[in-house]
Amino acid sequence: MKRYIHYIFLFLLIITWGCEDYYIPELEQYPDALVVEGILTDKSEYTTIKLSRSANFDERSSFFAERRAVVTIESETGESYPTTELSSGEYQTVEQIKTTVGVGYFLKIITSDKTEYRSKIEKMPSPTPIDSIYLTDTVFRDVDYDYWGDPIVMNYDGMTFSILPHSSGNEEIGFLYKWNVLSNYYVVASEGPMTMTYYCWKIKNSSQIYVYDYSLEDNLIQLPLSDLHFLSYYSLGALPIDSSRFDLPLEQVATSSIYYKLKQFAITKEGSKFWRSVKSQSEASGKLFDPIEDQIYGNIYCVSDSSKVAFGYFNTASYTEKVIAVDLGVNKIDNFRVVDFLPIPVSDEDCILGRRPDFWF
Amino acid sequence: MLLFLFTRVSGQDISIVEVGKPYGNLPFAVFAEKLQQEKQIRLLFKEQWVEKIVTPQLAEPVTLDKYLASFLPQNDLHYTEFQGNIVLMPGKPEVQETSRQGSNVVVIGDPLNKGKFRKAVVSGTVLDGKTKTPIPGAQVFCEAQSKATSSDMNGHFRIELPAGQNKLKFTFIGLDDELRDVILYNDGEMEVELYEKTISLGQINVLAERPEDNYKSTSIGMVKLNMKSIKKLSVMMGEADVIKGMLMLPGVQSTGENAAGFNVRGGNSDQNLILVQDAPVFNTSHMFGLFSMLDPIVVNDVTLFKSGIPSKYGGRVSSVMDIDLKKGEAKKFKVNGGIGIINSRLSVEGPIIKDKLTFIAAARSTYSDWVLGLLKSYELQQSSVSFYDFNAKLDYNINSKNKLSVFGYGSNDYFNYYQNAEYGYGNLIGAAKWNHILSKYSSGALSVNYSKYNSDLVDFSTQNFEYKLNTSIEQEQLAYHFSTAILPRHKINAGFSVVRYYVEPGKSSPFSETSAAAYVDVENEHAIETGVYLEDEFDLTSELALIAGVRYSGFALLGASTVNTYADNSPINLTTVTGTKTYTNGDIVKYHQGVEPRVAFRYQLQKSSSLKVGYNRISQYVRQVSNSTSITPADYWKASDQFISPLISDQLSLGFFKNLKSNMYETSVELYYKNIQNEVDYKNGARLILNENIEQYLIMGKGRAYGAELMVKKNSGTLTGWLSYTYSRSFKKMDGKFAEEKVNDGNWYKSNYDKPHDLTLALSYKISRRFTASGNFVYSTGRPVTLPETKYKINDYEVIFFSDRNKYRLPDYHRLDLALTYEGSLLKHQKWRSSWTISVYNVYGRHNPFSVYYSKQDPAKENNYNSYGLYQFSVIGVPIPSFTYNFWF
Repeated sequence: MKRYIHYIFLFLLIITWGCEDYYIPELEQYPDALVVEGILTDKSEYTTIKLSRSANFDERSSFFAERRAVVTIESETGESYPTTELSSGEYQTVEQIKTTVGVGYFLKIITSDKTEYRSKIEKMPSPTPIDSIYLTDTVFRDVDYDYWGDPIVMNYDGMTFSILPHSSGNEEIGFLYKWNVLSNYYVVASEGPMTMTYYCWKIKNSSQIYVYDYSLEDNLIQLPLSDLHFLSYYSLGALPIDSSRFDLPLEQVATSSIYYKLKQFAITKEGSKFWRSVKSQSEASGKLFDPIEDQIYGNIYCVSDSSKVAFGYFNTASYTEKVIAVDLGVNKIDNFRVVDFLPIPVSDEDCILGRRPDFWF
Repeated sequence: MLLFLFTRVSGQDISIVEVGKPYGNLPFAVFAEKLQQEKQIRLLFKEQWVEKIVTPQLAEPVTLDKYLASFLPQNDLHYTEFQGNIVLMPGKPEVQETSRQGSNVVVIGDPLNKGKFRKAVVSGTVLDGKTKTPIPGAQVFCEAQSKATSSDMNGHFRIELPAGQNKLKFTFIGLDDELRDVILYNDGEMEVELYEKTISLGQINVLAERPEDNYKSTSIGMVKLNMKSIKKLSVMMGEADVIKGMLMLPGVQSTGENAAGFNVRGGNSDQNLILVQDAPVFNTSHMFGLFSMLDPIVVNDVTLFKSGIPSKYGGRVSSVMDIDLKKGEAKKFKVNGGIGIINSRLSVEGPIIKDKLTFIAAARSTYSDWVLGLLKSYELQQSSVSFYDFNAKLDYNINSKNKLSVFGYGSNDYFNYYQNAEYGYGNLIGAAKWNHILSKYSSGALSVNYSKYNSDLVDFSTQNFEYKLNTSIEQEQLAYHFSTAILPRHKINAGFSVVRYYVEPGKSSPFSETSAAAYVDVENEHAIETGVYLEDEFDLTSELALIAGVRYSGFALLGASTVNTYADNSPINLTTVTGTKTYTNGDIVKYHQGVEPRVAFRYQLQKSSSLKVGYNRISQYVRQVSNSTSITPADYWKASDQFISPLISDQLSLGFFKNLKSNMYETSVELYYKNIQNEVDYKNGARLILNENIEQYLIMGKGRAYGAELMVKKNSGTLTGWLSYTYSRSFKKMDGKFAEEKVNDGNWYKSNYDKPHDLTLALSYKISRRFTASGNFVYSTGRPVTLPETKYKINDYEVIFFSDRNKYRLPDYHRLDLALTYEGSLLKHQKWRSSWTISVYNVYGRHNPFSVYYSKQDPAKENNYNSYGLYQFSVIGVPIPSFTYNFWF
């Protein structure tokens, strides 16, 4: 909504011969701060912690990895899980960690200059099931620009996915979501009497932050993921396609079905607040009517020098997942059902000639 | 006993009585006889004075006064009116300041009482000569005695003078002064009529308040502008503008270029009480600030109180802007219009029952869609924007003691952004006021009014999730003001007001049958605010005058409502909610109250200078929740409740006022200090729209503001205008018990409207009788702003980390505007009259930033930024010429 209010000002800007100029103020230089990112889950898994450094706003966006640090995950109950640096700035636990719901965990970092940082204690929340996934056919309008730069209105057919978060009565938690899609499509290539049918697939992963924390602000739209999570049929299909991969000229391409996996992470309230702040900022236009400017810190603090700032968040999360399989007609949903798991093909995108892969339906 | 010598003709008014062709070309004696027979007007003269006079030819009827004036002076004669007769006298009139109507010697009392009284009281009424309606606030001076008073709301005044000969001067904004030689024997009454200036009178006052007011009035921090002076300022689109005129005054600052609202002495824009015919207005702008709410033609004058706010006003802590509307013409119909680039206006006024019931009605509309059609953006080409407003006022003279006025106003703004959103807002105002005279010394006014502001937004950008968002505030008011001058040297004002508020902070509903958007209705607020006041304007000595008053205000927030309860000793946020408390309809959820003393002294140092000191306390019970400095569609009103205490402002001001060279120059220096309790700011990252628990995002703190305002004004001559400089600061401190209730670690920080230096130069130069050139130059320090300082990457997002709040400033603001006005015909009797105005706004095309923001989409390559750039947004970045044709007949 806010972005449309912004357009009102955009209108004013133009109607009154307004203008936008670069603005180069003298910003105060900010010392590089440690940035921490990592999620410890309730499953027996390896956990990865990423460390990097912040950069001044008016500098290039290159964020240096924090190398040669000693990173351990510790629990309130005294357990300690060491990590090793797998690649620069990425630290993975030496073993798979078995965590316990209700127990608090925290991160301990000693950087190469012997500065010690810690995260606040995060309790491991109980897992919350995904009751249902809703999906509807939607037309999404957007304005695009043609080759000459003239505006054209585009209508994108696609699906909107939504869920109604399970209300456990425990509102001390929030949720993060991630999704993966395996899309199956045909490519028919033919020349003269010869016809070849290819069975293709591709995988898409979520790249945005989907966070929900029972905040009343979300009442605006009951299904909190709905307006955020739209997948166009176009993006699920074959195009753009590299025709050189096919031996004959292409005759037809069509999407047949998709698998959709939604992963729901139950995280602490504080954790979801952090992600909500990051998400709000990522959606903000950076212009008028944005939320009040936030100073997003997170739950990391410097133990050895309280004047040092640190950013980022160490989350604890219990997750559940649900997979659905959807039959598609021409730009519409034909049918869908819940399935047990998301098939994992040998590669993220490929085609097989003349034979349906096992996961095709 | 009262005797008028040389007073106005009581029966026939010679400015109305017309004489036609048969009166021309007659020997004067015959003419006089005919006049007596046909018009019942007697002419008294000596025959030898007129025996050679033959009345001039008459092609068409003219009024008798004009006819006489056309030939008597060349015969070395003049006339005066005496006891219903017209008396011819030889030579020129004795007193040069003679008013157009009647003479200037008034005898009050019985000459037999001569020597019996040392002092006597003159009371009377000041009337508008044209409409015969009382003029409130007219100044009455007796220079020799250093005495002054002003007329009350019914035009009544009362002044004690020594018996004998006195000179009384009557002044009022926009009207000609009247001077009366009063020969006083004992207490008595008189009536004075003031008339509008005409172009031919020459002198133009840029500021319409009387120059003497600068040092003589007890009011401090008060500025009065009439539309004539506002029109002299070059403004956008060639149209005079009430709000923009006010922004040229010291201590009043714009919230941003063409932004709605204004800041007075470091206060937010929701702290200004804007009254039109006593009814409050919640948004005074059209098209987000490009135009003001009222057609300038209906405005009589505008009074702004920055401090020394009279006790009758309450509810807003920064300022009171009282807009007084004109009365319709009492004798004839008049049409006034203007054609501009973006909008046009038309007004009609006139009598419904002659001299009894008059009306004035005006309407404006825009036709700016064609401008959108010229734009490159497809969405904007397909969008539309419009506004209209209309208002009407009826004035009814029930009898000499009772007057009734009824006013109505409606406005609507609409903006449709192609296939995405619709936005509209509007005001609806109704007001009625009954003025009545209770006795010789006392009068009262009862007013009832209603004002509603609503805004709505429809978002239909996402299919199946179309929704509509409404917010509104509604106010009903009943008020009674009483004024009496029964005690000599005292004027006592008292009254009460009851205001009922209905606030709808936000309601969202699905906007199509298939929409899955949920209903969200942030609980409406219902409250009653009451105020009672008593005030005395007391002339302690001829040098020292005092206004002392007190106002009691109470505010009851009423149910039905459900209110969260929070854990003790913990911050108010989502995690500390312990439950809810329910109030049923009519329950008092929270009662706030305040006692508001108001005092102002004026000490006259010499003849033309004075020192004034004022203190006032004001409480404000409703405020706007907004995350920007100007009034925007995303704002909504919020009543004080158990979490949000009323805003309380204490202001102390000190001023020195001096006029030079017989009031040609006015100078003033004013200093002020304000202390504000319960100032509000927002927690980091707060989202304000549709927030049912807004208390969780607000922080209460304190504020302070101080400054000095200097002004030099030239009132007469071909060059008029003023130069003003203001140094002002405004700070906030949010130092709550808990970390989230602190802003900038609980230290003092600059408020959004802290603009230390502000300079205005406004000049008007009369090149010739037809051409007037005017220009404004304004400069102010850029407003504080929060900027991004650092960034980091997490989950593939670049997170921007902002500086402490308001750590930086926008670049300074400055602008030059020029205008040239050409008056069509200056002939007084020309029916169709017109003027042309050419103006250029922002002559040197300064890119004054409205805001600064960062953008992710377009890397600012010039800065060699990798992924972010900072941009400044200027609403107007080039010179804007405009052209307007105004006409009236």
